[in-house]
Amino acid sequence: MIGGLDILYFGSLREALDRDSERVEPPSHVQTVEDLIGWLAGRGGAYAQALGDRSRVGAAVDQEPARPSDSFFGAREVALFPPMGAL
Amino acid sequence: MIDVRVQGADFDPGRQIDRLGELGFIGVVGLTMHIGGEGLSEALVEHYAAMSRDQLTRIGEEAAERWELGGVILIHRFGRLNPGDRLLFAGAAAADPRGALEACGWLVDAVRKRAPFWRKDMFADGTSRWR
Repeated sequence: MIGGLDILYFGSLREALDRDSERVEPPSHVQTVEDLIGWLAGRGGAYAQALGDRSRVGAAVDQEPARPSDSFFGAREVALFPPMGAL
Repeated sequence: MIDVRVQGADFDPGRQIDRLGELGFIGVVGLTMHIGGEGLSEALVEHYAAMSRDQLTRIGEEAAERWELGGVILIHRFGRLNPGDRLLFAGAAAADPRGALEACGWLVDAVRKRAPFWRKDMFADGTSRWR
């Protein structure tokens, strides 16, 4: 992936990972949102803990809500976050 | 008319009702959600700025189509808020008052589930919790 992919974190994920964004270069076999979350969780430590429960991780690809099976091919940014809503 | 605002500042619900009323429809309904909770001392509301306004607009458009609304106003606040502070205004105007009422309930539920906002509650005993 040329130039890398920006990952944005929100809410409790941002706090757990102690960062609001990072630029990554996923390997070529990482193609979907689910792949990406799994690849990040594979780093272990805080990532494994924060991203381990996939049912609690939502995503958006280039500001559009995304399902786990959605590809992020060609995207500039992927946002990862806990279930939405402040009410 | 679909008016969506994402802002740190407070808003006047009465003024928003008046704005919907000026559209000339029979039914005008507005719901205001506040910050609250037992032992709560402060809430931090954050959002995905590049996405939040578009998502709220999409929710407003869906409601407008489903209930044939003539007007929708959604205002969602972010930042540090105190108990009692206003957090959300959802308002609808329609020829059918029941439609406006149903739409307002639906708008609040949709914002709760689909709008990219997150909230951390801080409590008087020093603990905190993401909702």
